[in-house]
Amino acid sequence: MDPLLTPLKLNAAIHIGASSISFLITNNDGEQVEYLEKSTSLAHDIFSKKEITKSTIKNCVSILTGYNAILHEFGIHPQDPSVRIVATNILSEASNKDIFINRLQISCGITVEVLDDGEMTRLIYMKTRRRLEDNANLKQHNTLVVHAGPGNTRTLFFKQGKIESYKSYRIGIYRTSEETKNNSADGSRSNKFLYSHINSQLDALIEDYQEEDIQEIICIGFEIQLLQSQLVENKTSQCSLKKLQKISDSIISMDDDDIVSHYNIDYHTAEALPSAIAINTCVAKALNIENITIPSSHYERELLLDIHLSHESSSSFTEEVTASAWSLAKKCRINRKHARQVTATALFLYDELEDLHNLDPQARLLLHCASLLHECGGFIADASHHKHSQYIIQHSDIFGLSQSDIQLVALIARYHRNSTPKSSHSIYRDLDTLQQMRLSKIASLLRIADALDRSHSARSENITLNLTPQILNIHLTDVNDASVERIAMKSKGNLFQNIFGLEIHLHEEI
Amino acid sequence: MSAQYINRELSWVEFNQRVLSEAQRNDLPLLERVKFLAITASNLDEFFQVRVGGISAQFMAGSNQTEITGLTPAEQLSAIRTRIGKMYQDFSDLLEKQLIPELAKKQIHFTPLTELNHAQQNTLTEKFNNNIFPILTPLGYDSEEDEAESVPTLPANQITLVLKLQDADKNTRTVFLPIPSSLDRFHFIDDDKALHIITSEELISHHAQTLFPDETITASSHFRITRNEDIILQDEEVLDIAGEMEDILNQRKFSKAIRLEIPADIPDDLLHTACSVTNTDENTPEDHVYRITGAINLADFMSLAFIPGYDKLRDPEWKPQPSPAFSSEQSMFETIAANDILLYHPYESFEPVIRLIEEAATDPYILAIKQVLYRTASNSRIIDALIRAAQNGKQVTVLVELKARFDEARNLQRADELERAGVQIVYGVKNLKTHAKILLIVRNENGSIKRYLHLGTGNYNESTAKIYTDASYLTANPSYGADASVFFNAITGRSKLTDLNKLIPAPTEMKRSLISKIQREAKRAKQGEPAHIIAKVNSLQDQDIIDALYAASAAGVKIQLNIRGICCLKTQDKKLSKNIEVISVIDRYLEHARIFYFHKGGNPELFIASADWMTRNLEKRVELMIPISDAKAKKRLTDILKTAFDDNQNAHIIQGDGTSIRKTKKGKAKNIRLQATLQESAEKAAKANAYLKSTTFEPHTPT
Repeated sequence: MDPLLTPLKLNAAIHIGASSISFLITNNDGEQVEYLEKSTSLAHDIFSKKEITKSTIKNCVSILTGYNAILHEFGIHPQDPSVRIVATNILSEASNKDIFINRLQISCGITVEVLDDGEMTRLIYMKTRRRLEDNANLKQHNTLVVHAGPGNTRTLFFKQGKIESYKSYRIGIYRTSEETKNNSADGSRSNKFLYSHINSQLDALIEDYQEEDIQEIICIGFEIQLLQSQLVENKTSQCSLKKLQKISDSIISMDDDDIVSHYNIDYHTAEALPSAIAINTCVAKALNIENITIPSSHYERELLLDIHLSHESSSSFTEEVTASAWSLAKKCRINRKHARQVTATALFLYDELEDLHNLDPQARLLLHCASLLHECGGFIADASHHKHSQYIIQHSDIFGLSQSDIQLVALIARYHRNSTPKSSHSIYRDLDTLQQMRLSKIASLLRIADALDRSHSARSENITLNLTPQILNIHLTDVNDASVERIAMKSKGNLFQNIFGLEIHLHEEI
Repeated sequence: MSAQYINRELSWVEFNQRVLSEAQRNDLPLLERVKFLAITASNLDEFFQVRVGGISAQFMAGSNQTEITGLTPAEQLSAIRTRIGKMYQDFSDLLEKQLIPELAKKQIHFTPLTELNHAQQNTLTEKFNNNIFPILTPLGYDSEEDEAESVPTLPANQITLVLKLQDADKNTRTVFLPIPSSLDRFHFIDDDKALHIITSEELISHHAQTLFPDETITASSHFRITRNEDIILQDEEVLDIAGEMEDILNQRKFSKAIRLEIPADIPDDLLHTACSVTNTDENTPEDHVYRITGAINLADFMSLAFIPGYDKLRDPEWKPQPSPAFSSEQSMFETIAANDILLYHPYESFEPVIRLIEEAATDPYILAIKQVLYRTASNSRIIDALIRAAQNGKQVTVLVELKARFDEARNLQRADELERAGVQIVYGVKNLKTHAKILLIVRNENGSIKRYLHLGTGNYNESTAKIYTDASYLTANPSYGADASVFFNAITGRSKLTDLNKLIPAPTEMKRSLISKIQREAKRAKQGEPAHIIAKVNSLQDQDIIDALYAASAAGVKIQLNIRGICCLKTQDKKLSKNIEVISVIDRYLEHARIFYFHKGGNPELFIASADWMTRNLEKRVELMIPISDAKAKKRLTDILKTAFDDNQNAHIIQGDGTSIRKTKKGKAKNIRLQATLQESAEKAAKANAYLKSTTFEPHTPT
């Protein structure tokens, strides 16, 4: 490269979605430099055949090869940290998911990350936050956010702008259209059947929310936002239930050709449109909401923008995640003072030793949750409470954490005492090496923090660290005699010492 | 015939008649008239190969499908024949009664070979023996045998001699002698006092006997055939009329000639032979057999128009002028970044567009160059620059349209060169011809992306840019740039065409957008607001657009159309088109720019476009319509549009029956000629700029 050139500062995100693969390049100010989109029939394949067909794989490879060429034009390597490539979580329902991902890796040199439930929830949360910022009303009211996705429908319930609960239901756009496709004799859509099929699956949702006093509903999704301008009243982003119902009825009665020409969209989207609009309609109707907010933004572009932001998760999101972990901890009647103290120390260690451990910001969040929850197993029994903690966390929902993240939090909590990770522990063994290392590093910090509050008296509140090539010196201010902590450190400091090759010395400072 | 529209083919013939009318002008220099005659003839050749060829294919496949005026293929063929028959008469009259006698006055003679002196004849004999004889290939023909087997494949588009031979035993046979295409049509003898011209057919005919030492030539004549098989399959214009006949065309089963041109005095038996080998019949109204008085294949007369040394018989040259917008001190990128720039060629030189690509090839900040190439010049500097850019490590992507008529071979050859240099080549878009004229240059400016664009109405061809009138718009406006990027991603198959901010593409948006703009003017007119549409296109044929214009006219919109070629809109009809005025400007340069003006209640919108208002452009091609945002550029384009309607020299009024009459000035009005006015103003602007530069000095300062 010419020395005169200031290198371009660009970020790239690719989303392998249900019916298209989209691609966004932005500059550092988040402004769009390139946006590309091409249709695929991933969702169609997965819900009708349970696997991705060869021709779809070929198509995806050819699309991604083209995107690679664009990355190359801007001098970006697909493995650069500024590039994030994600795939819809419906991939998990394809029997040949791994083959698909390997093929993309081999043919295009790209590593695809499958968006799991937690990450998807986070992305929807990000979209919603923006809506709440824009609209004071929504922030003050009890607002339900509905995202009808290809395989599942997610709901996020906000009270006064704070997340109250979130759920995911197995009713999705492509799932529904495949399930209802073959149910009319002539193959045409029957609106009665489609509606009754959807309604029959909404019981759980109604059950979850009928007691709540929901005042506003925000519908988010690729298809519904595509029709936004036709659905909402002039210059608002509000649509009446009556109008939504009317348009839903009319779309269901059209065939794909009519939809394509009437709405000027491609066939893949046209196939999904009837069930997408119908699901949104049925949810609004079931909850008896007259006015529906539909954001005017471009769903896909916004999603790609947020994908970039994920590694520097917004602080409000982190707060929501830890709040969710804390409410679980409270349910398990943990010792709040101890939990808070351990958490504070653990995060202090994380921040102070960043150059040593080199962990990512997400690890800090996991450490945060695990610290809050490490003793929750005590709710079941004190003996082996670390194993009960693991069990409880593993089977609970923590808002905004993916299943794999929850698994990690559970393991971090498990390893806060007694045995350090061993390959004879099957769940640990199943992690890949990088994750094993990550887990051990995080757990080692938690163990030190726990040892420092061995007395459960929060007396090691003021500590300072001093690092030499062989020793981590921990100075405890205002502590006369740290023998309790020293004894605890003997059994808990071992993981840290093994990983980082540092001895831990405690010093009383008065 | 439906009274609502004008047949496309007949309208085209009227256009060609307007070109011919330039050749008929006594006030034009003689060799300019010869040139216009040759252009008319060459246009006609292409018309037969492409249009008549297509309709013939339809006819032979038995189609009765009617076009918008209700004519079947058979009816169209016979209507065309009648009309073209008249045009041939005009050709003969013009050539024999006017041009040849006038040329003789200027000592340029079509001298019969036998009237040359001995020495001159010897020169030609020597030429025949040394240069022509070795490349002649006689083809025998036995009409007694099974026809399909014995018919020799005669070359199309060239003159073929037909000879009747008899041997000592009185056995006769017919021989064809195609005149090789590599041979010049005219042979010149310059004897200081005069220039004598002898045609190849005469020279060869004169010496033909030497080829057949054992036989005697008892009769001789010549003819020229036109076939559809050479280019028909590449042309979507034909496919759109032939439609479902594509398969039949692919089989190329019929050998029937599309046109047979024969001298009026051809002996009957040779006429019979010519008709039988071409599978035509003079008395069938759908067959295009034309008897011609005087020379045939007049397209060859183009070479006469350029014979050296007769500049007095030609117009003085108009030189393309440098645009004052650019200076040699400032890079193209700085200039374009400062302001959007409109160029109107060829009055203003095409050089800046080439310079832009050449600068991009070596500028270290350039990341990528993307361009659509449709027809390029033979030694294209643009392609040279693109190759250089790729060699310098720029990402160069070029869409080469192989379906560009008549230019496939050249396009392929250069495409190969580009590919070897590392240029990414895309060979057009499937099922669509890519006709948009767009160049995108991506530059890294201090770590951010900046895009520079050229958008035009004409091809990236420095040769045609000297004779076609076209508009160029250069801009660094980010919303145009973003659109261009989306557009290239779409045509290279990397993305679907998502929403564009500014540019309006065909086949997806342009037609819909045009119709809605026409309807919007109609709406304003209905509410009593002033409403006005001015458009300059090469052809108006799309029925939906025409209907929208009729409706707008009925609503009271003032509509002024400047249409060079085909116009299927019926003018001067009290019911349909009372507010529509259609003119056609035929002058020295080929009118080629497409410019649209919509009054929009006094806040006019202006567009330039690569597309004509034809169904093929709007529905079957990738085209771009470009809104012009720069106020100065809008004003200039509006002036260009309006001046055409003041032209009282080279403008023709299109009449209700599709024919045209030349516009003449009324009373003591000044002569106004669009092309001359534009040339003058380009010269004036260039001169003023040169003067300004010669009086302002810029010191060199250390940087």
